[in-house]
Amino acid sequence: MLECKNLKKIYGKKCVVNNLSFSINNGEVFALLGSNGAGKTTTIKMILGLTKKDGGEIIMHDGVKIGYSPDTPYFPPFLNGSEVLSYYADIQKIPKKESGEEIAKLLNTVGLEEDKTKIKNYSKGMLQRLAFAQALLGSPDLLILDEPTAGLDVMGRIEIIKLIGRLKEAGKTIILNSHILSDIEQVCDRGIIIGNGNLLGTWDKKEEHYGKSLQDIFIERIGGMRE
Amino acid sequence: MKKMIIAKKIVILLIGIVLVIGVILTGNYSLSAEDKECYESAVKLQENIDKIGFKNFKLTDYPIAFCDGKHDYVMIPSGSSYCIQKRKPVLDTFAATAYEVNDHYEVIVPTKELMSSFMGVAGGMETAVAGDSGYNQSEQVATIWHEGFHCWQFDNFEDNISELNGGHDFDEEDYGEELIVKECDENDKVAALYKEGTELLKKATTQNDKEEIRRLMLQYKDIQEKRNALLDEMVQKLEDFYTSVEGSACYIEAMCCKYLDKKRFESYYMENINSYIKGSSKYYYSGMAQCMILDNLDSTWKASYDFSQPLINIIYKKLGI
Amino acid sequence: MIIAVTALKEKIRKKVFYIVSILGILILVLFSTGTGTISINGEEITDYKLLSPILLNIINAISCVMAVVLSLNTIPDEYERKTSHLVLIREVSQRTYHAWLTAANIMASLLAELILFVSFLIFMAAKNHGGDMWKLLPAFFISAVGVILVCVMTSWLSIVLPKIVAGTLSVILVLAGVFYNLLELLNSIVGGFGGKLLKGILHIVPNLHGIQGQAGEFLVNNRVDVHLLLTGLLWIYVFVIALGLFRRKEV
Repeated sequence: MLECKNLKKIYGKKCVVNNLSFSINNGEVFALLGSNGAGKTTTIKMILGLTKKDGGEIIMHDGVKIGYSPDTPYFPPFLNGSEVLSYYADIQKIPKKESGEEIAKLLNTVGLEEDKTKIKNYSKGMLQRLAFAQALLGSPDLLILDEPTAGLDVMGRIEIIKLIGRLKEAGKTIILNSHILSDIEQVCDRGIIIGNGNLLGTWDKKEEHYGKSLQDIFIERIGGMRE
Repeated sequence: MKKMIIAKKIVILLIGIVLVIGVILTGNYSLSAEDKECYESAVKLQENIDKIGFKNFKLTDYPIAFCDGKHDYVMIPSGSSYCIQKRKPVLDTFAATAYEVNDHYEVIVPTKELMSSFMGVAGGMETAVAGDSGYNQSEQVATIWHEGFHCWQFDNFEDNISELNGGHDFDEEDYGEELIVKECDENDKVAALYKEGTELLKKATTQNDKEEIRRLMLQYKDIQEKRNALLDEMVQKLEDFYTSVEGSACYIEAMCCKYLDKKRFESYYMENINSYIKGSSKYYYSGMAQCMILDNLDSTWKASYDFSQPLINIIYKKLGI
Repeated sequence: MIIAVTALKEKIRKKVFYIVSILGILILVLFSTGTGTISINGEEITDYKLLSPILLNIINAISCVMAVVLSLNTIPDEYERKTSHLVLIREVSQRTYHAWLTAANIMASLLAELILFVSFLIFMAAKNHGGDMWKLLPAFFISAVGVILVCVMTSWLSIVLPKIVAGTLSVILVLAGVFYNLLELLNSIVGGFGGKLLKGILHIVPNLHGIQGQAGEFLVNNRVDVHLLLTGLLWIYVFVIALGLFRRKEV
């Protein structure tokens, strides 16, 4: 589905992504792991085409539809949830006949009510769910989720993780950026650990880790970098 | 798809070309119609100005240049019409003046638009912000005639005018102004006497009775003598110079205004006779008043006036004072 | 289109829109009822033919400042809040996105100007010139050329420069444009290096005073200078092209 080869990004004199290479297979949930400032969001932005890369290649199949859920979503405060989704559906050129039904379905999927509550009255968790819903508009093939469970309560987190699982079963390819290692262990298939823009390690659920949890591997790799 | 993109780019380019051509074709690379109208209106007044009686004073004897800061547009009479010559500005500053260019005198005035902006700024913040000083065509025409009169004065009576200011070099305008402000305006007694004098002048301008004018001018002479006792001879000469030279030009200006805008003549020129204005400007109106008093005594005075003596001396002679 | 409409809806909910509109209306109502006065050379101006171009100048100046205020933050805010991300990943180019946001700026600014023109209607009625009210519509469109110019210029500056710099520069250019006639006057007075500098400035500043002044000329049946209007349209064209050519490098 997606292959990144020797990705590079430099801001001023600082190299924030340095020769990063990884590939994502169809239908898998792929994790991007790393501390704050590791280069995860920059990598995501390069994949989305929001930031120009300074080196390397991004190889993606033709016609792949991408959905993106940002970590700090902002929506026009005077709109309600349906109107926000309708806005993005319009931009995406989804016909109005189809979008109405889809919007209702999506709101239900993410656990939001189809009511007149304005965005300005939404909680952080509700905003996060709405962000997820807009990412699903138009049934994308590749979903990029940046901290989808941030700000959610325990039940909310569980629901989103379950939803990611359902999407995986439905054949969606997902890139997940999250700090919550237990969520990643639960739902992801593979992942990479990034530190200071460099690839520090990989993780594959199927591989034998000799009793080490993802947390152990993470600490090992990041700790090694800090030394 | 590619064809559509190319077509879009062509349309955008065409719009740009059309706009550029439109801007070029509609541009005014000559004098504005408004300024041309001002010139034509000024020339049309010649018949009226002839009736005033200054001998051989013809506006069209002198080229009139309109300056917009970038160019001078010189109106050169040609038979019953005129042609316009464009040149670099001869003045490097903003002024309405009579100026010697090569071997002749020319009237140089800013364009009406520039004058209007200048008056707007001079009028204060309100008019500067409002963008309209109310400066109109009749004022511009009057200014042209004022400067045209100066051309005629310098052309015909340069030596006498020089004598009038005692041979002092007042080319340095600032110097003359500074002297007037220092010696006349900042001296309360001198200023008060001047004010008193202008009240008498104003009364005399509206009098047809020679005896009444005589009575007023006797009082005026008395005041003048008291003032002169307080002033240096050089300052007196300077006052005579401004009153006679600028005053008579202001008189012509006022007469133009009377023909074109009688309301303004009453409210501006007549009102300023007895207004105390700091600097040399006050003499413009007292000089104008003296011309009007002379008109009441003997309207033919202009035919023989040669600037060899101050206007007030002509008044005294005619009244036998 | 939905991008422009949503951005417009966001704008007209902002307090600054109402504050400036109310301020402008107050100024006009004051003058139309005779409470406020304009005087030139100490003489109060009450005549409709003299007062209306002056009041239109005031409307134009307020409209231009409002255009800067309404246009300055639109595009930068979209990037700061990262709302741009969710639009740009939906196969909307930056060029298209900026164009629609600029359209929203224009619509909001014209709406504000329309409100001020409606106040001018009251003035016309108060001065018993109701018969001339139909002239306000063409006058509005003439004046709109200047407002659109300011919107497009500010929008472009907000893309290429940091917000504070863009805002400062926009205000300077607008003020210079509104007082263009005074700059021209200064240019004719000042010589030497200062004069050359002023000349250069006059070439890069749009003549907003001249362009929008044609609305006043039309209103009092004077000749409209088509050249100035075409120059205004050309400026708009240049800034629109610039909007399309310049991109934000980092989104």
